[in-house]
Amino acid sequence: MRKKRTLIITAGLIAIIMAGGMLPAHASGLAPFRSVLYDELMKLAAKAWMVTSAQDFGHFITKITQNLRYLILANPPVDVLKGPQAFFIRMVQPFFILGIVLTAAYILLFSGTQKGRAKAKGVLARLIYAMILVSLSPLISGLIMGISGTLAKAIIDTADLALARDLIETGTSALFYNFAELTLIHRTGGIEMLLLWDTFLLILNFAMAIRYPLVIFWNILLPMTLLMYSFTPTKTIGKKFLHQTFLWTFVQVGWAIGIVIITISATGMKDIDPNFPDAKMGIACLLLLITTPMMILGVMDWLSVGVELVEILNAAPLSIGALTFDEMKVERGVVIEEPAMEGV
Amino acid sequence: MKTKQTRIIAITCILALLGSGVCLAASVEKLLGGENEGQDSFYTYAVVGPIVRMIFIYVNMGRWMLTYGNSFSEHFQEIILANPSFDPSSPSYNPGLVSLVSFSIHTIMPGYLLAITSTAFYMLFMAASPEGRYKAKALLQRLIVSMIFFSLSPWIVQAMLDTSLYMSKSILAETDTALAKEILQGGIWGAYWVVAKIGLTDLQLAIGFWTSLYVMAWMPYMVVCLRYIMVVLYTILFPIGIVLYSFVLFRGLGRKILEQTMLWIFMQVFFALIIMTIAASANFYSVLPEQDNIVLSGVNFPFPGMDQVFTEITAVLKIPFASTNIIAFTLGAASYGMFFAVPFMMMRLLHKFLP
Repeated sequence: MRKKRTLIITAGLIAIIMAGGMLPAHASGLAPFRSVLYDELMKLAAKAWMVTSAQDFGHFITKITQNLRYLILANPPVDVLKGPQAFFIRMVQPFFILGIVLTAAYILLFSGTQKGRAKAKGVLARLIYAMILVSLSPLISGLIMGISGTLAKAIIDTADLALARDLIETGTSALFYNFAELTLIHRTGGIEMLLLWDTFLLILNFAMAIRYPLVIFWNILLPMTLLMYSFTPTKTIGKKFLHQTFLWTFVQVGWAIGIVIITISATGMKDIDPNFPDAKMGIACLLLLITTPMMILGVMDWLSVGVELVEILNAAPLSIGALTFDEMKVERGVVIEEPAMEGV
Repeated sequence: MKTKQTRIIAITCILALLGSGVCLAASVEKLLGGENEGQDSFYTYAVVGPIVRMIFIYVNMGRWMLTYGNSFSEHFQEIILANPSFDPSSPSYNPGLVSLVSFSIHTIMPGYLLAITSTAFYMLFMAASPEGRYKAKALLQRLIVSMIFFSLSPWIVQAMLDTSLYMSKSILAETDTALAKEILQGGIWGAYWVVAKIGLTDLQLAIGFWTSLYVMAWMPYMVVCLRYIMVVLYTILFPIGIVLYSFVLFRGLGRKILEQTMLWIFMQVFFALIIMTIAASANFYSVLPEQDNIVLSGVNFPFPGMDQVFTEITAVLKIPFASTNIIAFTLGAASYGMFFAVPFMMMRLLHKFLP
């Protein structure tokens, strides 16, 4: 299709130039006109060159629509994360050992009060629990990415990917043809349209590419994140980091849902209005895929309210409730029934 | 790497000029039917204009790419590991910074001494109620602890800088920096070949890519340099931050200063971690099947089909040629984007972590 179009443009231009070249032989009175014609033809050829070059670049950048499935489902292999994670695990392990030894020494040798001993026992349990979690972080990373990847794959398989691809291509082609037409009218007439077109496609490429290193980044930090999440003073930071780890890993699920939404909406719109322009729909779909990470960020913020609620509900019986139950003492003695009053 | 890139640019330039020469010699007279009227336009639009742009893009911008464009990817280790220092034996020792910090210490120290003396005087001679005595005692303790930290502030900052440097060095030592360099160069050279491809027809068309090229070349430098500047700024403010943090009334402001000092100092570790991440992202190259990893040639001739011919000739002769592929370009661009995204995220996430 692309070759055919390039061929037509080239053949047309050559034909015009040849016709222009032959014109003077038969019309000697048209000399001033001939000069302007040559000039315009050359300008037209230069504009056509601009359009064909942009088309070559478009072919390069629009390839993303055909590779959506690969790019959405891309997850770093766990083996890649093992080395960098091991670095952080090695870094925090001495602190863990020191913490465990000191707490154990405190329990064995120095703890005077029952309260202090109970507190130290709690810290010791938490230290051991955190150390196990940190040591297992490569497995946890694999698990998170595995769940996300499987979920995304299952969702994307339900969508008509070809329909989504065609829609996006129609949308981007519409922008490109607007650019081509405006450029043929004036050399710089279509620059805004070109910027719009390539910005959309470049941002989509960029968003899909940046997720990959960001997933690696947050998963490399996972041992530190789990360590911080396990202790009360650093729990807030740990929670934020964990939130980001989940967010960036699960963006692929958001994209997969986006593709499903695109296919459902496209067929739905066609049912309502068969003449609805595909190009507008395609641009909207492109925007949806671009904004998906940001939408996920928003959704995750809403979800965090739910997470807080669950945490409060979970924590209540363990902390306040358990404490109340523990401290509550019911004193029961022998019940002596009072003698009934006379005359009643 | 640089020699290879120079060779690619030189070969591209020679081939492009050769191609234009072929166009020029290709019977202009015959094409224009033996007349001269149209030759000016032909030279302007098909020969002279492209050759001028070609020289500008391949020679001027090529030279810029080999120096400024490659600069960050070649020197990121030195730049990331740069820290101001209080140690006179260190090459980054700055007497101006030391004198500023000691000036702020010397200015505030008499205030401390006055406050401690007054509180002690109050406790010894004037405190009547146990509550007042208790309050004064707590204040005195806080003042003494704060004064100790305040006097030690240059050493505290130096210790934090050393810890950050040690951690960053350890992370970089575990990283395949050559791979990170290759990925970063893939991004910036990809943008350059896109500029060449489109800019050869009209420089205004390439304005967006041109901007992205400059952003890639300068943005990481700007972010890393901003960190250095902020470290210097907060090193000067750190003693004041300690003073403010000691008093309940100004605790919020003091906490912000202390948090920012820590954040900007340890941002270096995150920069090193970004390099580690970039190197670990190399597997992204294999995400697409080879036939889908489309290649864009960096040459463009005013006559259709000529750039394909040159690309194929160079492929047959196995000459390294001006081209990029979609994965190298986008992954490289995303890697540069990490230098903006990660500090921004950290600034957003890491606040109010001090009590």
